[in-house]
This record gives sequence, C-alpha cells and structure tokens, in this order.
Amino acid sequence: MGNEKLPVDLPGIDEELRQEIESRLEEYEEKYEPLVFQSKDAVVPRVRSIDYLIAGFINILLIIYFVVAILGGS
Amino acid sequence: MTKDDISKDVFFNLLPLKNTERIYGFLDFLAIQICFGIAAWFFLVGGLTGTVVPAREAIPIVLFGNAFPLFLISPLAVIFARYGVEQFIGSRGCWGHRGTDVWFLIYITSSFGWIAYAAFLFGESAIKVMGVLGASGALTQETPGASIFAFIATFIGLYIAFKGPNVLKWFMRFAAVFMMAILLGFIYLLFSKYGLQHIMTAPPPEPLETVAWSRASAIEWNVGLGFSWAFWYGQWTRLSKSEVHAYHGCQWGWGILAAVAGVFSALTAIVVGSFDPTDWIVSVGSLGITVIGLLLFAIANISSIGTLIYPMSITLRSRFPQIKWLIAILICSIPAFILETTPTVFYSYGNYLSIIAFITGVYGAIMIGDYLLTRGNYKLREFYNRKKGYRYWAGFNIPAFIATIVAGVFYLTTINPITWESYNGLFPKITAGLPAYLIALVVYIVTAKATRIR
Repeated sequence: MGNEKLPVDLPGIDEELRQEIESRLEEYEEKYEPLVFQSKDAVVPRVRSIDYLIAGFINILLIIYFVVAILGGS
Repeated sequence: MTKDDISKDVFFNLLPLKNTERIYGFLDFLAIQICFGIAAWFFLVGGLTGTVVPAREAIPIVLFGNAFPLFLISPLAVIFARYGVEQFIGSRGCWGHRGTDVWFLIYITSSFGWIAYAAFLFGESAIKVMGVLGASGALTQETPGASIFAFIATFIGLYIAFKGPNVLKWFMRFAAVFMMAILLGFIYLLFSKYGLQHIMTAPPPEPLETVAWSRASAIEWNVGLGFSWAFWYGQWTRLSKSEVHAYHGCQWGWGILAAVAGVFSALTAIVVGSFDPTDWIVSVGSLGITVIGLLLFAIANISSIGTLIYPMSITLRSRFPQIKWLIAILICSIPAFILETTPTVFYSYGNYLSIIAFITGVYGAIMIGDYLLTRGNYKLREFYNRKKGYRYWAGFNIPAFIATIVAGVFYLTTINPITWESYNGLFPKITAGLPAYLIALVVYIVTAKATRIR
C-alpha cells in the first residue's frame, strides 16, 4: 500500500457523509495518528499499565475467593 | 423528528468521533452499564445458578463467572475509545472487512435470543398477573398465554425502538428505576422472610446429576453472560472521554456491580425453588406487592427489548445505509417472534448462554490477541475503505478464522450446548468457555506471527 492515501470507500453512504468522514480522517491523521503509534495520549488519554494491574489485582482476589469457596464446599 | 433523529444516529454512528464529542466519564459508564446489565439476563442467570448450587457456592460462581471473563475481554473497551468508532467498524482491523461482516451477522442473529428472553419474562409476568387477578383460561397459562404476551411485548419493544432515541431514553430511565426497585424489594423481602441462616444453608432445589456437573454448568452459564458483553463495547465506549474511563467503567459496571443482581437472584432461587423471577415475586410478596412487582417487571422487560432492538438496528443500518428504518427494525425483531412461539426456548437459557459463551469468548479472545500483537494501534483510514483497507486474504484474516475453528472444535467436543453432553469427557473436570478463550488467544497469536500478518 505504501504511502497511498486510501479514499473513503463504503457502500451506500451519501456524499455529505463521505466528505465528513474524509475531513475527520485527515484531522485525525494530522494531529493524532503519530501519537497513537508512539503509544502516547491521542484523541483521548491512553490506558496505562497501572489500570491493567489494578484490574488484575482485584480479579486475583476474586479468583482466590472463588477457589477457597469451592474447595471449602468439596 | 423521529426520522431525523434516526438519520442523525446512523450518520453519527459511522463517524470517528472527535474528542469534543466524547460525553461519557467513569461514573457515566458505571451508571449506564449497571442499568444495561441489571435486566432479565442477570435475573435469569442468577436464578439458574441458584437452582443447582448452594448459596456458599452460588455467590462466588456468579461474581467470578461474570467478572473474570469480563476482565479477559476488557481491553476491547480501549480499542473503540481510542478511535471513537462503533464496534463493527473497529473490529475491521483484526478480522478484515469481510471477516467483520461475518461477525456482524453472528451478532445480529445471536442477539434475537436476548430479545426472546426479555419478552418471555414479560409473558410470564403477565400470565401471573392475570392469575392473581382471578382470570382463567388460555391467558393465564404458559402455553399459549406467555407466548401471546411475549409477542405483545416484542411488538411494543420494536415500536419503542422504531420511535427512536428520545422515546427509548424515557423508557430506559423508567426501566432502570423499576429494576432497581424490584431488586431492592427482593433483598428486603428475602431476608425478612427467610433469614440469612436459612438462605445460606438451604440445598439447591434442582441440582444436576453430580456436584461437579452442577458447579461446572453454573460456571459455564455465568461465563457465557460475562463474555456476552464482547459484542456491546463499541456502541458505548466510542463516546468515552478517556480510555481509562471506558476500561474501568465497563469492567466494574457490567461485572461485579451488575452481578450483585445475579447474586440475589441466585439466593432467591434457592429458597423459592424456581429460576423464574416471576415465580419469586408471587412467592415472597403479598397480593398488592405481587401485582405491583409483576407489572414493574413486565414494563422493565419491554424497555430491555427496546434497548436491544434499537442498537442492533442502528448497527445494521450503519453497515447497510440503503435499508429503510422500519425494515431494519423488522429484520432485528421478527426472528425473536419465532423463538417466542414455544416456552422450550425460555427453559433453554443455560444452553443459550453456553452458545453465547463460545461465540463471544472466541470473538473476544481473538480481538484481545490482536490487541496484544498490535497494542491496539490500527490505521483508522483503513477501517473506511472496503476494497483496500485491512484486506488480509480477500477481506478475511485467516489466522483469526483458524483460531475460531480450533477453539470451536474444542468447545463443541467439551460440551454440546444443546444436549449438554461432553464428547471428550473433559466437562465437568474443566469448563469449556474459559479454556476455549485461551485456546483461541494462543492459536491466533501463534498463527498470526507465523504467517507474518502481525
């Protein structure tokens, strides 16, 4: 594909919508796409490792509760 | 007004949203997902769980079974928040344009079941109201009474969806309040009538042939509901102000917090002896409370139907903008009428959840596999070009489909969702949904690397 800029090509959309999508894509590519590929905050702030760790920690507690409850019932 | 609103929604649905158009923060997500989550599906899965395992096991099974699968698929929330795109636009980076069409079709067809269950609960409420009020005849009996009322509920639900987002918004507000009222009412009545000691020590009313089968089946049903949210992220998280809000809001709103409804349903089912919430309302309340409870429950289920048909129809029209709004609504609701012709469907909720566990677990696993390989970094422009964007092989990402087939063979040989038999003997030693997720994830990562797609 190289550096070819793909046009908006979706079946059934009208010209007004096509133009609106195109203008948003251009704005996104200009302002945000490089940031996305550098894993930085872009259109919205990016999720952090700590968020996954918090969720992981709570789920580990849940797994421990589950295992203890089931083994306790055996 | 309605036509404009719907055109606006379809128009809006296709656009990648700007940051100024993002309206949901963490608390908004929590509120919305709790309201969307606490509906027929959580009452029923809790009820099913409570019929086969005792309270001390039902509580962790409902919490773990819903929250852990959701944890495994929660990064999906991030993808759609990052680009501000709808679910089946954002899936194109992983599956290819045509591959996403296949999943879009599966999403629409598999969602008819959710409509049918909400409609049938309306039907069950309605025949019991008729009975309590002293009526007799066909309309007080499950066949054909519940089916007839289910048809009426679906028709009203599709009409609400047809009227568009403003009407739907008002019904959703009432539904959320009604569901919460019923839930709180249950909690109060349950504990005041039976007491904590009795609830926690009562045996399950209808356990399966062995303890292992009861446990594994209960886990499988809850895992099915936990994974089922995999199809419903993009419709909401594209509106998020932050990936963090989307990630945590969906995870806790649909997970542990909404699962509280499932926990109380399980406890109620244990002492009442039925998985059907309408039986509980009749059992635990006085005449007045019973009638009010059943009516609130009936109305709340109509709203649930509307909240399913509307986003399905919007998504359908986003993919096929030529389809008229009424036709889209009918396509997304008529098959549900067929499912409502027999109560057999209503009593097969566990089988339905198992099918959903397989479908959405595999879809979620492969999306997450792709997220791990790409860090969720896609070329937004390629989502919007069907001929050259994310082509892979003729529009299909073959490693993703190989992983689907491998996980599918494992799932279906481990537990047949229809007959509830295990052909390879692994179930109930292990369950099927969570291992199938891991198999799909690993096979996808290995094959995508091996074929250098990633």
